[in-house]
Amino acid sequence: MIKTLIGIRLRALFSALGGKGKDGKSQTQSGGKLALMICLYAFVALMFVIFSFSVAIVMAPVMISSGLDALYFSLFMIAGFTVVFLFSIFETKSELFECRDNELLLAMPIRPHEIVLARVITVMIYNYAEFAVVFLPATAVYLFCGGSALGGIGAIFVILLLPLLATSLASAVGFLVAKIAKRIKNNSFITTLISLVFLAAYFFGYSSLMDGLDEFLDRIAESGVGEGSPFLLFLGGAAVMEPLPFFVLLVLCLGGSALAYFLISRSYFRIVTDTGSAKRVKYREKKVKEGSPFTAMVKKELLRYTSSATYMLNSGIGLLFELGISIYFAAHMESVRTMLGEMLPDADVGAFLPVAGILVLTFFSTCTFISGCSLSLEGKAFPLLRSLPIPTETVLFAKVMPHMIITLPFTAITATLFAITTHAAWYYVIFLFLTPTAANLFCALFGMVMNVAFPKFDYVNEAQVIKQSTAMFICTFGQMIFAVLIAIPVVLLTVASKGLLAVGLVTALLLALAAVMYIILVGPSARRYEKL
Amino acid sequence: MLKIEHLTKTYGEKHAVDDLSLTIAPGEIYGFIGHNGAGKTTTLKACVGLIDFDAGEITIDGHSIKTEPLACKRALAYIPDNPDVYDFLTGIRYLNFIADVFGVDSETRTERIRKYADLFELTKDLAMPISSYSHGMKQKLVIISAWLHAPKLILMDEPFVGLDPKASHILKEMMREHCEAGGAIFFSTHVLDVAEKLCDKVAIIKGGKLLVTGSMEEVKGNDSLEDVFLELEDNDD
Repeated sequence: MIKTLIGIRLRALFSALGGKGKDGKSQTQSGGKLALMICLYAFVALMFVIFSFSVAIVMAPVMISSGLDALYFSLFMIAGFTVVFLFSIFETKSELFECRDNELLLAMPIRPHEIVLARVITVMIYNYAEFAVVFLPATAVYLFCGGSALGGIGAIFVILLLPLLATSLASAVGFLVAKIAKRIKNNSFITTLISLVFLAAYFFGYSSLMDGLDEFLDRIAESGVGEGSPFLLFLGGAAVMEPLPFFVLLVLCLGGSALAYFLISRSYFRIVTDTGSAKRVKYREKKVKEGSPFTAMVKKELLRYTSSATYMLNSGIGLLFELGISIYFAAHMESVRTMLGEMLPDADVGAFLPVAGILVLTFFSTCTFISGCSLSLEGKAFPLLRSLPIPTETVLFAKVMPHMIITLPFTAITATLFAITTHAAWYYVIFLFLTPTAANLFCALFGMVMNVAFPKFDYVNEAQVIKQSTAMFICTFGQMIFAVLIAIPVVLLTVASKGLLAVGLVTALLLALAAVMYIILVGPSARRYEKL
Repeated sequence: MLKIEHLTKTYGEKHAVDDLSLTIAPGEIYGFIGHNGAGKTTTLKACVGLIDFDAGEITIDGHSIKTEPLACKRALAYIPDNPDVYDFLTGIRYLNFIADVFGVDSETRTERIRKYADLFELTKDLAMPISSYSHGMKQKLVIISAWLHAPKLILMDEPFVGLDPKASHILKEMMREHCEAGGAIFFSTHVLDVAEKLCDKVAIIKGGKLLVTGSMEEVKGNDSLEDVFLELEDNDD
């Protein structure tokens, strides 16, 4: 039974990578498109591998020769755990409690714990892959640089155990959020809020740990010796097969997973079948304000966005980071100035700060993907939308608009903060507003173009579209890689005292790309939409 | 009002609809009957412009669905076989969305929403999210939204599925009123009794081909529609 259930989930995952093409054929049937998706996945995995490898190759020789093997592994364990936890935190909630086939399966002679197990295993397959791309290169480098064989064996156990714990923790958070959400009326906002609290707590813990690590590395740099954080050494001890840390990790991972699985299985039926206790609202007739079809569509899209915590958090997380980093810059401007001075000794830090602000805001603007799944989220209501007398361009631009409406206030606030804290010259102030806005416009149009190219209407839960669909995958990694690529020449030009030219060129490039996306959207994309 | 000429739609080698022609005049209720997979939904979707077709022509109120889809869609309302509407909206927000799309003024929409929601006893639930509605309630909401903009032509795919007997009765009354006011209705159904009592004209389709079409009297003569339908199905086998 478990095998059958996992098979169904995996088929759903694979179909999420494809889409609904002409005549209802799954795009996964098309060899070319499947090959493209495999290439994209391989590319992203390669990026993670290269990043992990490049960090490991610098750290491994020093740390192995200093006998700090445990610390070396602990850093990669934390990094891998963070990637897995962050990627799966909202997915587990959707996968476990929000699937459309929950009631269908519960009506069959299948025990709830089998359904839970099948779903957790499905999420875990992803998680093992994510953990492996971070941790495996580090292990390979460790062995290559003369690390102990015991460390190699321990690393294999870590690869097997740690994703279990990350998945269990993410499932437990999803379970708590789902349980609370059933009891409240504005559940998308409250769910978002609770999820953010969990994320903030996690980041606080992570940042404290990293601060401890910085202090430790400073001590090594100053005196050549360091005692290291006891927690980090203990954690990494498991990877080099120290008996007590290994035993604790084993118990924590297996016990934690068993406990999470037991608790979720016990409450699964109740949570899934609970229709909630939100109060009924009685309708009272009010005078209605008329609107144009475009306004009606935009309103509908905004309501769609705010109705789903998964949608808000996954596609809009960049906005929160944007706000967070602006506040951090404002509060720690002197430390940032010192850090940049150390990083770029030849640069005029005062002149570089506004450019850094522009780059940071532009980067986080590219981490917002609201339009990338808005067409797919029409789901089974898509025929209804198509039956309405709304011109194609109106539909597409109404789906682009929420991206701009939601991102612009964040850009305005964060740009103002950066303008004040970096004492930016007037021309940089213009670019602090203009460049991220151009990036937002490009991302909004790019997302829509991608979603029309790779729509996915027949999903089992929203997360399949919001997190795993082809369009969102391309948007997420494409936009971020693009932002990193444009940052490199900007930094180089700024160091060469040509910062203004650099941001000018980047802004022009973003606006030109937005214009290209606009042309594609009203041309080929509009034609494709009409054939969907 | 609706003219279908030589409509042909294939999926691969399968003919979903094969050279189908029929005409629906203003004031007519036209029933569309056939077994599962006969091509009813494909025909209806082609009329709404939801699927492209290989050959033939469909005109609604004198406009071609291929070349003037928006003009056609302004003249019609479509009720799909499953009331999958926007779960995240409340009932009233959904109705206002439809009213905005069709440009129904504030006064008219308020009056019509009041009238039809009261008829279907849905008024008190209009402030609730559609996600909390039962299948029948969603079906009622979709019916209200179809009548909200007073279309000339209403296309319905199995409209009685999920409705309670009282709501079915109300819908039949509404259909009759709509046609008496000069509108036209084209709907598919498996409920032959309803078709027999309600329809002015009927078309029976099998394997994408039109087996028979005409006024109810012409098609069934002195027999029941059920007998005629079963006989046609058997003969064709």
